[in-house]
Amino acid sequence: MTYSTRMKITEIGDAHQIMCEIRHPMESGDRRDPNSGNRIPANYITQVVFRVNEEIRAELLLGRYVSINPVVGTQLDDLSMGDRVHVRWQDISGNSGETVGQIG
Amino acid sequence: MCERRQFLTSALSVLTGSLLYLADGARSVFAAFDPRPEFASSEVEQVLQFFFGTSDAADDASIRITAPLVTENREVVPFKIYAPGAEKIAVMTDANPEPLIIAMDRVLDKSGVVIGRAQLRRTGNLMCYVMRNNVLTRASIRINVAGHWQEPMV
Repeated sequence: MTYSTRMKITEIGDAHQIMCEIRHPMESGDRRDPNSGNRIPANYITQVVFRVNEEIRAELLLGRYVSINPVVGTQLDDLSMGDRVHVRWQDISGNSGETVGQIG
Repeated sequence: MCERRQFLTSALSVLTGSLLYLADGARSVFAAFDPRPEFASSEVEQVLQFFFGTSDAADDASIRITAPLVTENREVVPFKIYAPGAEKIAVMTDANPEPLIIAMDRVLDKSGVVIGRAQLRRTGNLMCYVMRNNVLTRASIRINVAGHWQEPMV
């Protein structure tokens, strides 16, 4: 399965809102396959880390009741033109993904 | 003698079936098991103890929650939390078997904003707990899940 990660940076006053959309099934482990009847194993994102110029600025911990293809985000202060925003996620199955954006 | 044998065979079948059913249930519990205690807990108090170290929370009007009050799609319920000055933030609901949806551990920015989309099993409260200066505060809103939804097959 391929996962994709997109980031959108919006300036809100003095801060920047960082929104991240991750293409991920976010299986909670509750559902069953309609054809086979077997339970679909849990596979969900557990951690999203926001870094600015390699420094961790925010860390989100996710549970199994976050929606499919999650959109997660935060607001970061004191970003300046040219700052490099790096978002990396990891799921419970060991998959990971990342995306990089720049202010300005 | 034949009746006794039939009874024993039936009883054995029922027992085997029950064991298989229970085994499937147990497998599902393990499949859904989250190694992080705050996410595996089924009680809000436990989550607060694991994540914040305390469960005494006071209401706080400075925490702002933006989310739909009524939703027809319980699989995607968008929310945005504003908790200025927060050091730790936990977004929870009493509508799911495990309350904790998203937690923010290292809040280095004073904005204290968390954006996400949750799944809600039924109508319930979306609660935000915030730690500032070692004081735990909270705010919540009620989200009504409308429409005809089947309970998921568990």
